[in-house]
Amino acid sequence: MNQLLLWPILVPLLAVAGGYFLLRFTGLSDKTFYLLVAISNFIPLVFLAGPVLGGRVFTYRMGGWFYKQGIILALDRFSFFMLVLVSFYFLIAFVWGQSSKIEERSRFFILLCVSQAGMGGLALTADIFNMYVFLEIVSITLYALVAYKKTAEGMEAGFKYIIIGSLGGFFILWAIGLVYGATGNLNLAYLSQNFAGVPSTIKIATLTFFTVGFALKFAIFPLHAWKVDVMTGAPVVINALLAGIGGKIPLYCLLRIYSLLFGWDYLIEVGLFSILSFLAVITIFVGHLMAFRQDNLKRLLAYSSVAHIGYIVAALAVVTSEGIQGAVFHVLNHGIMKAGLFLIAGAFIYELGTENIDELKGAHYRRPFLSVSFLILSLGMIGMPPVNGFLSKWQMVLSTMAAGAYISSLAIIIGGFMALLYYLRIAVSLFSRAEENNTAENEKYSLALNFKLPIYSLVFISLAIFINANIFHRLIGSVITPLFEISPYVTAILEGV
Amino acid sequence: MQLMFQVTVIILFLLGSYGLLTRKNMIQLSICLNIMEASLLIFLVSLGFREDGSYPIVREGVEIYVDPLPQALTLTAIVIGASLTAVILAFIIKVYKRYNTLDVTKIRKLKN
Repeated sequence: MNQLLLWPILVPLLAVAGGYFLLRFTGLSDKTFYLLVAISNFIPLVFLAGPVLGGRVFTYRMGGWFYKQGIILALDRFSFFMLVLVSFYFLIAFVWGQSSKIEERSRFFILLCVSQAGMGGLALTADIFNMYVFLEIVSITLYALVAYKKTAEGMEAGFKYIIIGSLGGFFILWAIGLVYGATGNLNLAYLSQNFAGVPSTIKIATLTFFTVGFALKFAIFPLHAWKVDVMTGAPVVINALLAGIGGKIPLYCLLRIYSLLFGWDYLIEVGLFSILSFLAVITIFVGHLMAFRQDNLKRLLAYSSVAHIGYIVAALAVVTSEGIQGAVFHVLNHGIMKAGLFLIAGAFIYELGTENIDELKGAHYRRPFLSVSFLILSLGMIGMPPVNGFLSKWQMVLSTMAAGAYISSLAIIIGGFMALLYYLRIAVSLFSRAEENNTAENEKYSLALNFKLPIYSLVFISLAIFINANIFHRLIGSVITPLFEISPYVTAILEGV
Repeated sequence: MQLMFQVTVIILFLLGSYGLLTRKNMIQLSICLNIMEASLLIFLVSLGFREDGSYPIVREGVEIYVDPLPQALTLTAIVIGASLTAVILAFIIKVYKRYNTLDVTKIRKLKN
């Protein structure tokens, strides 16, 4: 069973390495092959789901080395949750990539595969230097994917992304160096027991570098500007990937480091969370205000993404289990809704040939189902009841209020109203009659299945989560327990079970 | 010795970030990134430094060895840095072909 932990990292990489020859000599189409690889990534998850959700922690020693010298992979509930998200969003990307519109499709799939291996590794690794390596693998592939269309905007976005991303990487590397210099080990479980005795100046410096480095990657207020440019220039499917998992997985790493390396008590003591909640509130307002002023649909969605990262951090920063539960729930919900919105926007942009919101007029007549889906998902983004966004937002408001962070809860509520204004504007544009109603153009031709399937399944999932609210509430509640009870994770690694 | 390493690291890192903030040329920006990265590599290597230490292969009569792990980490970091530089240069070539300039501000003007 423990060897299954290698699957999410090894299988996508092997598919890249051996795929070329396999395709050459068997004549299998690259589309089917990579789709099969993406589906096969669910196999270990199916096998591991039962024991992991039951509370067991799986570990695997790379090369048989013990934690003092070697790298350990560990899977507990929280990393399992991230792994499911990774496999899910990449499956969506692979299905979307079946389109014949993408040039040099094999290359696109190869980049996606490497990126998936990196993200799987990020979710699994229990070694901070390994975490850095995987983070850079993910980042480098994302740089290339962002500029995949080779348009001028894409290239510029890629250049900006690469500068900012590598800066973030440098800060993380610096922090890792400090940790190693102070303790002589890089294993998270070992550090969770030995890092507390480190001199406080080094501790503070490490905390700062880790926070700044990861914050650069998931884009919170003073460090958010790159994200919008990147998302404007990137292909929509990469945007969906970035919004769904790419922007969230650094947050996961940061949470792991916070809970294992520093411990929540220490972080509250040094006042980190009052700074974070302050920044989060600013992020919410900046994101929504800027989104309100945009005419470009992708840009608007990107600013809304920034604001939602603000929500998540604001709820995290109260450090109660309810707050973190709300935040992790919103990671799931926001990812699904925003990925769906980006994909629908992509379908509109592809069909109407414009990214401008005002030129979307009359899209309702051509694409009634897509427009209604867009409306449903934007209701979720605002936080209205029939969609999953309501659940997590409600919980975030309640938990911040219960913890006494009234400013955060107020910001989340006001943010909803601001979102209402600009999503309403898109909805009005979609459902209003076009000036020159050209009936010849109105003939309905159907969208390809590989576009339809991801979009409608995302809409379906977001409605399904709302209907099964209780189940998901309990599930997320159990998923976040490793953040507070670190002992099963630590003993599993140290004793090499 | 340690102090010398630390001072070098800090000077290089600040130099790199200063360049990153002030330069306009894309090639120069990528060089600044590389300088910053080099400073971190020196920092990592210096973590393994031991006074009077020998190279880390166990032999008779030698008791102090330098720590080999940071050297391994540095090698990995060098590989990552090299691939980053490769991707940046690829972007720069593409952007140069499109706009015929390397100046970031000029590219922004050309775009609008």
